[in-house]
Amino acid sequence: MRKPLVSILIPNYNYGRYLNECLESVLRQTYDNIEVIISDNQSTDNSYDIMQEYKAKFKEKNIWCDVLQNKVNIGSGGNTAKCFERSVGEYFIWLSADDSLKENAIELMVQALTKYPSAGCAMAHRDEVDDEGNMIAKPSFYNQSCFIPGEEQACVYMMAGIAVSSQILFRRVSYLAMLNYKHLRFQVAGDWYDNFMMACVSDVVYIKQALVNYRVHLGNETSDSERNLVGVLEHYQLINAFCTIANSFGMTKPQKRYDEAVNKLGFMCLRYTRKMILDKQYEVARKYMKLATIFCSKIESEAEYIQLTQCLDKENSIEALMEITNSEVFERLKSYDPPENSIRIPELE
Amino acid sequence: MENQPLVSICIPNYNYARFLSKCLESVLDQTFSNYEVIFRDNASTDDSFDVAMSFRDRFAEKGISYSIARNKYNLGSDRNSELCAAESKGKYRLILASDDCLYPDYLKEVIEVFQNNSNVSMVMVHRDEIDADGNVKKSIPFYNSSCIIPGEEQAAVFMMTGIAIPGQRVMKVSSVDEIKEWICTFQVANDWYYNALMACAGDIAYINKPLMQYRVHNQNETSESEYNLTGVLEHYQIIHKIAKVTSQIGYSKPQKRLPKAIEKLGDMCLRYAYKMFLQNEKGVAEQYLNLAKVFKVTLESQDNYQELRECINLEGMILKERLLQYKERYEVERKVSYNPPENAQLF
Repeated sequence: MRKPLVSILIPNYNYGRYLNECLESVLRQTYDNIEVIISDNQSTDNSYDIMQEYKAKFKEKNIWCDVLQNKVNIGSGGNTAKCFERSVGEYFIWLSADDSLKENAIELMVQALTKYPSAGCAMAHRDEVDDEGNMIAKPSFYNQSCFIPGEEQACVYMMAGIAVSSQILFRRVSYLAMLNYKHLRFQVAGDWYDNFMMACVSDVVYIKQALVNYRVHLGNETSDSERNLVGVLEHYQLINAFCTIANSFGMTKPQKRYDEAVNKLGFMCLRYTRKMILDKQYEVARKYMKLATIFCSKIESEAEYIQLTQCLDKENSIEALMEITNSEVFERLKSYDPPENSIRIPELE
Repeated sequence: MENQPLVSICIPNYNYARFLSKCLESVLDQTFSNYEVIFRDNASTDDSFDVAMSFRDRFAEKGISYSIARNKYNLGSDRNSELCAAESKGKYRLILASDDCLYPDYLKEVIEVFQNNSNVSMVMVHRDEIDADGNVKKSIPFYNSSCIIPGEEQAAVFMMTGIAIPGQRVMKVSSVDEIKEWICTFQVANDWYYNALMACAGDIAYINKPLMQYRVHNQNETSESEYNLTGVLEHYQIIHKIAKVTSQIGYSKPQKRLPKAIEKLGDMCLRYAYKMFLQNEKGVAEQYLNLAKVFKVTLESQDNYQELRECINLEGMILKERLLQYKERYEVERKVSYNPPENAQLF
């Protein structure tokens, strides 16, 4: 069988503590026609030393490994783009330096893209790993491995982003085609937008097996874009933009999901409300509650909404909050059926 | 390079044949002559392209370079403007909507300001407004004097409002290059963000005479971005982005304005709520009222907020009357020009 070259792109900033695990996982891939491009964005930890160490190990195995170092920090977007520009593989993946791959990850994703030439990317399920290395298995997004037509997947993206970059192997020609249409730039949800755009120009293969270890940094701290609402409002902009873009590609289905998507955003606000309460950001939590009613007019009668309101009334009662953790509103607990017109791929399960 | 024009006037067009002659005439009538014109039609279905072609001889007679191009497909207005800009060679650039027009001294006055002030990255001019029937309406200039405003001060003002549409501003192209990495495309109010970026590349000049006419179409109609809230939510994104970018380049004042700018959006939501009640879109009006409270927590104690809230339960004539009263009491246009910010230099 032909073995197309796969570029594994690893932009890094101060993830020295995870880098060994990440690079070791690349070194152990069962698929051997790879090139590795690592770019350090002016880290202040020992990242660069680890990269050099692994460069030698890759060389021993006859694998091309390029280690780049930026003179100044060029931002994560800049660093990500730089890795891409240096690469030549027919397929490529952006592997986050705090994530790692299962041994057969590249092999299976290549198999998927080879079998389905109209697919622009192969997307695999992930396990989650916390800072201490504890593995947390989560239900896969779809309940089977499958080939999904672009338009169907675009509809799904109206509702959710689904995958982070480490989960996706791109076909370069499809990605380049997508770039021609990419026009907007988002501050927080850039990956989601890219994934949607990919679905506009190509189909998708989903692999139900967890092929990636995705690092979740636990703790209750909230980020800037969560506290100032910019993240969730950008999601709203995103789904509005998706409708327009879908139309310009002649796709009619995503538009039909619009109301449902906006409603869902209301529930996402509840998720953030909970997060804000845990971080004792009560005023922000109240803003999220208000926003929730704007996106979903009926949300005030939902159990989770009522419970959160009660939590906010007696601000210190974290116990009350814990009781309502186990709800689909706060976390996806099940796998979905693939959209219509999808084709199951048993050999990838 | 002697032949290089000093100013590029870019005119992207889509289906504005009915306004185009006036626009091109006004460009032809400039009292300053060192400029080029780049016209690009975005696959119009009217006779725009013929109108544009009919001006070729007249520009040639005056020795002004006039380039005409046509897109095979409609590429969207942003992309069409970008293509115009990409072709331009001047040191200064004006992007003029094809339904707007310039007064004869526009370029002369703007270029004089650039030439006397090397730190200026963008000159903004005041405008008159003109409706679809050609009626001209005077309005009050934003500042009460022409002035040069330090970038940081003006960036802080841009936290509160966008001030100038594209036809009202001429940019120094080398300054545009400086802010390139920050450019990001907003869907509704991109011009506003762009103005703020220009304040990151130098000082901003303001000429408080009207030097152009801005075409206002059907102001009473409600647009998609008003119905689905994306307009005002985008403003929220923009002020955050401006605060972030300006603090990255070392300005501190815009970031300090952020809380105030957010509160102002709360008040803006009330204006939209009022507009939605007028259209009998109560559901949307209520969304705006709720959103207003997200942006401005103290709003509930404001009379105008309370009055609009009450409108939710009113119908028919009673609602109409209430809205009329509301308009008289609260819906007032800006009647004063502002003093230029601190450290501005008047001229």
